[in-house]
Amino acid sequence: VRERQIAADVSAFTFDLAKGTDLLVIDVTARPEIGVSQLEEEVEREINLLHRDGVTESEVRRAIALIETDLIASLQSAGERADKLSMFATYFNQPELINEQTDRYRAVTTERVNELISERFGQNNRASLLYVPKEGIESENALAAAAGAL
Amino acid sequence: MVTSLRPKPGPTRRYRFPEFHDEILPSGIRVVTAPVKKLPLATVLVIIDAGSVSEPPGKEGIAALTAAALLEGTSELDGAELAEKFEQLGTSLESGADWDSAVVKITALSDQLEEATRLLGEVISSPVFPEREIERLKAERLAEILQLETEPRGLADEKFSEFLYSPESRYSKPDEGSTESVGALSRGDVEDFYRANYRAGGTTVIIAGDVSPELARKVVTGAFRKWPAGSAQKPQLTTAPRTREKRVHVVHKPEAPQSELRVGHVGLPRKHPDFFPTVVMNAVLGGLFGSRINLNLREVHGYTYGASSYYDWRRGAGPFVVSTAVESEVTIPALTEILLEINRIRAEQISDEELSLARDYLEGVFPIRYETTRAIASALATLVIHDLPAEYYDTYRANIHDVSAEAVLKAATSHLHPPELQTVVVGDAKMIESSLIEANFGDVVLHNA
Repeated sequence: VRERQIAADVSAFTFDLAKGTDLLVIDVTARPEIGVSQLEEEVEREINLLHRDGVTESEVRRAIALIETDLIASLQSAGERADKLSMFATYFNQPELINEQTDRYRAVTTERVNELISERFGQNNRASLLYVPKEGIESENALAAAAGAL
Repeated sequence: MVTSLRPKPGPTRRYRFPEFHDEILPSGIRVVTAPVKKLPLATVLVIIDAGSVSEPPGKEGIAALTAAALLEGTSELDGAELAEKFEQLGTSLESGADWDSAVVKITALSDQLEEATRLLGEVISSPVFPEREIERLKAERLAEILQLETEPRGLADEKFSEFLYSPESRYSKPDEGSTESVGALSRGDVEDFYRANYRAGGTTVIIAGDVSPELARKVVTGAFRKWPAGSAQKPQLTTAPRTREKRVHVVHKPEAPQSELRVGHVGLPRKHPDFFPTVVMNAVLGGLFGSRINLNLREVHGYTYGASSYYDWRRGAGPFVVSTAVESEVTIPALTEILLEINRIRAEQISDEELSLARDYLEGVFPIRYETTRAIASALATLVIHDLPAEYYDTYRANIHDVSAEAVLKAATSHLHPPELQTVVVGDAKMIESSLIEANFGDVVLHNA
């Protein structure tokens, strides 16, 4: 988005599924002049780098600091407190887990994050969904090439 | 086995907005502190009197661009390094500008508050506005405008403002600028707007959360030590309508299956003495799901999924607008019903049931709005921006409760003006133009999208 300016925005999120394997979604919107295959290649390249090199201690600390602020901020509203209590009660039958969340996040180590990346971020564990406007498809070939790169 | 019983709700308690402390520092910066010590965090919100109405003519969009460009780096750190620094402190900086002001804010845990506010002060006091980032922000805004204009809702809103206000009014143009005005902005324009408007006399720092007025004063004094004194000269805002004769503007979108409708006229400034009766009147007319316009168009006639009306409260007189989207073939009947409802609320007193529904809703949702430090800080920002009295939030519910059916009728007859209504229809002109002329809602003017 910032350096090469090929994407209008990027975000990554998980669904926080309680049971079974969760999904990590990386959501990227191309800038108007950027083709779908170029965008997909760039995202693939970044994931490959992450898979190869992992994340740094400083990145993990930043993520934990942001999660902690968000978590505490969310407890201000009665609705969100109720949601969280209900989630821990429904999924784990332990509403009191709400009190352990900041400690659990703080205990996450860079090694543990990198283990997960190494185990889960491989080529054979990904799928791409390309959403393109009807008239925005460069050509059937380009789309087929992008699809073949999965 | 579960043995506990669900607790019963207690009696309704009187609501008090958090107490706050208001002072002006020797530097000229106003500091408003609301100590709310529920959780170890606080929101810092800086308001600068540098909204779109402060823009020089021809520079529409410079207020939003300047607010966004603040985050792109200081003399010490570039934009990415700044974002990283804030993230290390468990927060992220947000900035933006609306009609009346520019706002920069963070929410941080108490133990990071001093450092995060110091960094925020640096961002606002020493921006470098890199040329490359300004161009990127402009390109992003131009892409947004393009997207907005291809979408009927965005197009209808933009055209409605254009047809409502006289061309000299800043309100006649999009608050974040048009393709032409944004395209022509330069780094020099950002620098000029910043130097003219970002000054102590037009700055208020609001801190809500786990903080004392003493700490707030110390933190703000330290963070804004490089802040220039004085206030900016503001351009005169006119809110004159483009015309006082009712007109229908059809913005042609070939083969559009729906008509996007806007009906309204110039409304009232936020500090108008009839604010409370007008709020209740609008709640009955179109402000709530159960209001007349929605019930009529959605429930009775099935023309739409939703229809609403609102007053856009600004320092100057913002628009009053009814907004909905309907299938093309029911454009005329839908407009007829909207006009009928505007005329009906002016003609006869609302029922006791409608009055209590609107008042109960407005009184009931009020305390829930101010649970978080962000919401409390934003509420205090509204007080500052609109120069409202300190007791405004404590007396809000009583003021709503005191509105009578007679006062609602008076607000409707005084502040709804059917002969001045401007109608914008974004849709397929071929399908609707001739019947719109026949329906006589006003002179019909055709425009291309």
